[in-house]
Amino acid sequence: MAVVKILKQGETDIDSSDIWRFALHSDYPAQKIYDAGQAIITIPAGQEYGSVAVSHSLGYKPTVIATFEVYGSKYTRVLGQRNVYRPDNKASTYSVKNGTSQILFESIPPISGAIASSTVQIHVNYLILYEEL
Amino acid sequence: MARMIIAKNGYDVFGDKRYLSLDSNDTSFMIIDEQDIAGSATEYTHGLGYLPTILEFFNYNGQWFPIDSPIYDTADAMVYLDSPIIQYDVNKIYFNNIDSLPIKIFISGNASDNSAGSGKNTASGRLRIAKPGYDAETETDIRRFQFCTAVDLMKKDFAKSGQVSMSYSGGFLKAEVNHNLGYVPVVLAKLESNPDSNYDGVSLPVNVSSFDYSPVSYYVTSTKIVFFIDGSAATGTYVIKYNLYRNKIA
Repeated sequence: MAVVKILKQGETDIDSSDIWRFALHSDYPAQKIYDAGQAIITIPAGQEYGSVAVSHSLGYKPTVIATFEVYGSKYTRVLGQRNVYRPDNKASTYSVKNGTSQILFESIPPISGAIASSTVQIHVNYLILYEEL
Repeated sequence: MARMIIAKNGYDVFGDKRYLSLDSNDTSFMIIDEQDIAGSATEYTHGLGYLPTILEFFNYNGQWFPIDSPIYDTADAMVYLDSPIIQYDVNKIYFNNIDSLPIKIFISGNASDNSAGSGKNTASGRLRIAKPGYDAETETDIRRFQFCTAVDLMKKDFAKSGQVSMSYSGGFLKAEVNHNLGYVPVVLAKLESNPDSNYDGVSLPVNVSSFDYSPVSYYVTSTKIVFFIDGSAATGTYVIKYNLYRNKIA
């Protein structure tokens, strides 16, 4: 059976058995993007939890790589769960839950001290991949 | 419009997209840069002009952990060091690395479709497939491409990917999976199921009891993957699914 291979730049041995040397190798399927977009988690004033859901129609739990806004006008990558300071400088655990029909992005408060004094918006950029994880 | 599809041996090019290496109708997840970051580094300039997507790992004594993981040595003893914290903006990646642990990052040039920002000349190579409406011969911003040969792809090894089931009854518990590649590959993992369904589908590392130390995580060496559970995690069965990619961390 034919194999399609493309070497990474700088690599020269097309017959190498070191698969990491290839940019593309047909025996090792690559990740492809099903959906890319942006969502916003809103935490109303006086609340401490917020979430936003993004639907998909894959029927299985896909790989999701999300980038959440944190304090200081920066972002951090969240695959599953990450402890951070939200844009209003209060502690939170950001979470990504992969479902068979939707992805749930959450900002989960600690035991205390995370009540928003005014509405907080957390920007989330996401890539949903066709690949199941 | 012509279309190019490359499937894994034995799979239909018009079948399940999970078994395709390339489909010119879809955007590939494209790695445009990978860097070994010294423990002393405080920042790295990616210069994309928009927010990138990054996969990150850190090293303790030849064991590579996903960012935010607690650290255990190969004798299963907890190591009281902290994972680096990584944040970024449209120009730089920032490292808060109080224990100076080496880091490996893979930077994807893909961005959410509505992303603003200047972009960068990141697309090149002899085979270039542009998104509809863009000219593959003149366009240089990777966000306008489905694929080009100057990038690396995340290459999934189906034979070395799988799942483990762990019966947890307290204390430290681990499960080892040999891959024997001779180098440290990229591994991503998630909780498929566990005693608290609130955490089903969450990628590792994860703390499975909100207010107690209860990590489920893993590390990768040049020969094996080690999954572990510790602390106040609820007792019961944990099923972890993992994907191994033929991309080299170290």
